[in-house]
Amino acid sequence: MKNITVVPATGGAYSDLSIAPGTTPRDIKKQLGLADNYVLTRGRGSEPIPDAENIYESVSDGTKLFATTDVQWGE
Amino acid sequence: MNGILRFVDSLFGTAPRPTNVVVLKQRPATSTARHQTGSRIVVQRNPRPYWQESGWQYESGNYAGEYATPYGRWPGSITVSPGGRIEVYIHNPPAQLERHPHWECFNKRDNGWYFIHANSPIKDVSAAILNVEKTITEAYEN
Repeated sequence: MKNITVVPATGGAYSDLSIAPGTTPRDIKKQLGLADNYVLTRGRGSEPIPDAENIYESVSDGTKLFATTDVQWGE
Repeated sequence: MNGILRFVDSLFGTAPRPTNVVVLKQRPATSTARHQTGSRIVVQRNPRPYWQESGWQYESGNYAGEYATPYGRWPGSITVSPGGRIEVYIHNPPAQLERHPHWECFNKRDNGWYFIHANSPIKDVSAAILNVEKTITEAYEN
Protein backbone atom coordinates (compact mmCIF):
# COMPACT_ATOMS: atom_id res chain seq x y z
CA MET A 1 0.00 0.00 0.00
CA LYS A 2 1.04 3.62 -0.56
CA ASN A 3 -0.25 6.60 1.33
CA ILE A 4 -1.22 9.69 -0.66
CA THR A 5 -3.17 12.86 0.02
CA VAL A 6 -5.79 14.32 -2.26
CA VAL A 7 -6.83 17.91 -1.69
CA PRO A 8 -9.46 19.87 -3.59
CA ALA A 9 -7.77 22.67 -5.56
CA THR A 10 -10.47 24.94 -4.19
CA GLY A 11 -9.27 24.20 -0.66
CA GLY A 12 -10.91 22.26 2.09
CA ALA A 13 -10.41 18.97 3.77
CA TYR A 14 -7.59 16.70 2.74
CA SER A 15 -8.27 13.07 2.07
CA ASP A 16 -5.53 10.74 3.22
CA LEU A 17 -5.73 7.57 1.21
CA SER A 18 -4.02 4.21 1.17
CA ILE A 19 -3.91 2.85 -2.32
CA ALA A 20 -3.23 -0.67 -3.47
CA PRO A 21 -1.37 -1.72 -6.63
CA GLY A 22 -3.49 -1.14 -9.69
CA THR A 23 -5.44 1.79 -8.29
CA THR A 24 -6.47 4.38 -10.87
CA PRO A 25 -7.61 8.00 -10.54
CA ARG A 26 -11.04 6.76 -11.53
CA ASP A 27 -11.08 4.51 -8.45
CA ILE A 28 -10.01 7.42 -6.26
CA LYS A 29 -12.61 9.80 -7.67
CA LYS A 30 -15.29 7.18 -7.12
CA GLN A 31 -14.15 6.62 -3.56
CA LEU A 32 -14.16 10.37 -2.84
CA GLY A 33 -17.44 11.01 -4.63
CA LEU A 34 -15.85 13.34 -7.20
CA ALA A 35 -17.62 13.89 -10.51
CA ASP A 36 -16.19 12.55 -13.77
CA ASN A 37 -15.03 15.99 -14.89
CA TYR A 38 -12.52 16.17 -12.05
CA VAL A 39 -8.90 15.37 -12.68
CA LEU A 40 -6.03 14.59 -10.36
CA THR A 41 -2.84 16.54 -10.85
CA ARG A 42 0.39 17.31 -9.05
CA GLY A 43 0.04 20.98 -10.09
CA ARG A 44 2.80 23.38 -11.25
CA GLY A 45 2.15 22.67 -14.87
CA SER A 46 2.01 18.90 -14.71
CA GLU A 47 -0.44 17.03 -16.85
CA PRO A 48 -3.54 15.62 -15.19
CA ILE A 49 -3.10 11.94 -14.42
CA PRO A 50 -5.17 9.96 -16.92
CA ASP A 51 -8.21 8.31 -15.37
CA ALA A 52 -7.13 4.82 -16.36
CA GLU A 53 -3.48 5.11 -15.30
CA ASN A 54 -2.12 2.83 -12.61
CA ILE A 55 -1.48 5.61 -10.16
CA TYR A 56 0.15 3.27 -7.67
CA GLU A 57 3.08 2.94 -10.05
CA SER A 58 3.41 6.61 -10.86
CA VAL A 59 3.25 8.25 -7.43
CA SER A 60 5.56 8.02 -4.45
CA ASP A 61 4.49 7.33 -0.92
CA GLY A 62 3.37 10.64 0.58
CA THR A 63 2.45 12.32 -2.71
CA LYS A 64 0.02 15.21 -2.58
CA LEU A 65 -2.41 15.50 -5.47
CA PHE A 66 -4.91 18.22 -6.30
CA ALA A 67 -8.40 17.41 -7.47
CA THR A 68 -9.62 20.00 -9.91
CA THR A 69 -11.90 20.46 -12.87
CA ASP A 70 -10.44 20.58 -16.36
CA VAL A 71 -10.70 23.80 -18.34
CA GLN A 72 -10.91 23.77 -22.10
CA TRP A 73 -9.48 26.88 -23.68
CA GLY A 74 -11.22 27.89 -26.87
CA GLU A 75 -11.80 30.78 -29.22
CA MET B 1 30.84 -14.39 54.82
CA ASN B 2 31.39 -10.73 53.97
CA GLY B 3 35.05 -11.20 54.58
CA ILE B 4 35.19 -14.05 52.07
CA LEU B 5 33.31 -11.98 49.46
CA ARG B 6 35.62 -9.03 49.92
CA PHE B 7 38.57 -11.37 49.54
CA VAL B 8 37.19 -12.93 46.30
CA ASP B 9 36.30 -9.52 44.95
CA SER B 10 39.74 -8.21 45.66
CA LEU B 11 41.20 -11.10 43.69
CA PHE B 12 38.86 -11.20 40.68
CA GLY B 13 36.46 -8.24 40.94
CA THR B 14 33.58 -10.66 40.46
CA ALA B 15 31.81 -10.85 43.77
CA PRO B 16 28.18 -9.69 43.86
CA ARG B 17 27.87 -6.33 45.53
CA PRO B 18 24.93 -4.43 46.94
CA THR B 19 23.55 -1.57 44.81
CA ASN B 20 21.12 1.33 45.16
CA VAL B 21 20.24 1.39 41.46
CA VAL B 22 17.19 -0.59 40.41
CA VAL B 23 16.68 -1.25 36.74
CA LEU B 24 12.95 -1.47 36.11
CA LYS B 25 13.03 -2.02 32.34
CA GLN B 26 15.71 -1.87 29.71
CA ARG B 27 15.01 -0.28 26.33
CA PRO B 28 17.06 -0.24 23.16
CA ALA B 29 18.97 2.95 22.42
CA THR B 30 16.40 4.09 19.92
CA SER B 31 13.67 4.07 22.54
CA THR B 32 15.86 6.14 24.83
CA ALA B 33 16.51 8.62 22.02
CA ARG B 34 12.80 8.98 21.35
CA HIS B 35 12.17 9.54 25.00
CA GLN B 36 14.81 12.25 25.10
CA THR B 37 13.43 14.12 22.09
CA GLY B 38 9.94 14.28 23.53
CA SER B 39 6.59 13.03 22.40
CA ARG B 40 5.51 12.76 18.78
CA ILE B 41 4.35 16.04 17.22
CA VAL B 42 1.70 15.94 14.51
CA VAL B 43 2.07 18.89 12.15
CA GLN B 44 -1.30 20.19 11.08
CA ARG B 45 -1.69 20.84 7.39
CA ASN B 46 -3.22 24.06 6.21
CA PRO B 47 -6.00 23.19 3.77
CA ARG B 48 -5.46 26.26 1.62
CA PRO B 49 -6.74 26.37 -1.95
CA TYR B 50 -4.21 25.99 -4.74
CA TRP B 51 -4.25 29.70 -5.60
CA GLN B 52 -3.24 30.60 -2.07
CA GLU B 53 -0.69 27.86 -1.83
CA SER B 54 0.82 29.16 -5.06
CA GLY B 55 1.27 32.62 -3.61
CA TRP B 56 -1.55 34.41 -5.39
CA GLN B 57 -3.13 37.41 -3.68
CA TYR B 58 -6.77 38.40 -3.67
CA GLU B 59 -8.11 41.92 -3.56
CA SER B 60 -11.50 43.29 -4.54
CA GLY B 61 -12.48 40.55 -6.95
CA ASN B 62 -9.06 40.35 -8.51
CA TYR B 63 -6.47 37.63 -8.05
CA ALA B 64 -2.87 38.38 -8.89
CA GLY B 65 0.08 36.02 -8.92
CA GLU B 66 2.28 33.96 -11.16
CA TYR B 67 1.69 30.87 -13.23
CA ALA B 68 4.46 28.56 -12.09
CA THR B 69 5.83 25.82 -14.31
CA PRO B 70 9.10 23.91 -14.57
CA TYR B 71 9.99 26.30 -17.42
CA GLY B 72 9.43 29.59 -15.66
CA ARG B 73 6.89 31.85 -14.06
CA TRP B 74 4.61 34.34 -15.75
CA PRO B 75 2.53 37.08 -14.13
CA GLY B 76 -1.17 36.43 -14.13
CA SER B 77 -4.40 38.08 -13.22
CA ILE B 78 -7.82 36.55 -12.73
CA THR B 79 -10.96 38.50 -12.20
CA VAL B 80 -14.19 37.23 -10.77
CA SER B 81 -17.26 39.30 -11.61
CA PRO B 82 -20.04 39.74 -9.05
CA GLY B 83 -21.99 37.19 -11.08
CA GLY B 84 -19.18 34.66 -10.68
CA ARG B 85 -17.75 34.87 -14.19
CA ILE B 86 -14.03 34.08 -14.11
CA GLU B 87 -11.73 35.80 -16.59
CA VAL B 88 -8.13 34.73 -16.96
CA TYR B 89 -5.16 36.85 -18.08
CA ILE B 90 -1.44 36.31 -18.54
CA HIS B 91 1.25 38.94 -18.98
CA ASN B 92 3.79 38.50 -21.77
CA PRO B 93 3.20 34.79 -22.35
CA PRO B 94 6.19 32.82 -23.64
CA ALA B 95 6.76 32.65 -27.38
CA GLN B 96 6.49 28.85 -27.18
CA LEU B 97 2.76 29.24 -26.67
CA GLU B 98 2.41 30.62 -30.19
CA ARG B 99 2.94 27.05 -31.48
CA HIS B 100 0.34 25.60 -29.12
CA PRO B 101 -3.05 24.61 -30.56
CA HIS B 102 -4.73 26.88 -28.01
CA TRP B 103 -2.74 29.98 -28.91
CA GLU B 104 -5.82 31.27 -30.74
CA CYS B 105 -7.51 31.44 -27.35
CA PHE B 106 -4.99 34.02 -26.18
CA ASN B 107 -6.36 37.43 -27.09
CA LYS B 108 -3.98 40.38 -26.92
CA ARG B 109 -4.92 43.27 -24.69
CA ASP B 110 -3.06 46.40 -23.62
CA ASN B 111 0.40 46.55 -22.04
CA GLY B 112 1.43 43.00 -22.77
CA TRP B 113 -1.60 41.35 -21.21
CA TYR B 114 -3.49 38.54 -22.90
CA PHE B 115 -7.00 37.38 -22.12
CA ILE B 116 -7.40 33.58 -22.25
CA HIS B 117 -10.77 32.50 -23.50
CA ALA B 118 -12.35 29.35 -22.13
CA ASN B 119 -14.89 27.24 -23.99
CA SER B 120 -17.09 26.88 -20.96
CA PRO B 121 -17.45 28.73 -17.66
CA ILE B 122 -14.50 28.20 -15.37
CA LYS B 123 -15.62 26.79 -12.04
CA ASP B 124 -12.94 28.16 -9.77
CA VAL B 125 -9.78 30.23 -9.73
CA SER B 126 -7.53 27.34 -8.78
CA ALA B 127 -8.73 25.32 -11.76
CA ALA B 128 -7.90 28.28 -14.02
CA ILE B 129 -4.37 28.59 -12.65
CA LEU B 130 -3.70 24.85 -12.86
CA ASN B 131 -4.90 24.73 -16.45
CA VAL B 132 -2.88 27.75 -17.60
CA GLU B 133 0.21 26.20 -16.01
CA LYS B 134 -0.54 22.94 -17.78
CA THR B 135 -0.98 24.69 -21.12
CA ILE B 136 2.33 26.56 -20.77
CA THR B 137 4.10 23.31 -19.93
CA GLU B 138 2.55 21.60 -22.94
CA ALA B 139 3.82 24.42 -25.14
CA TYR B 140 7.38 23.78 -23.99
CA GLU B 141 7.21 20.00 -24.14
CA ASN B 142 5.43 19.45 -27.45
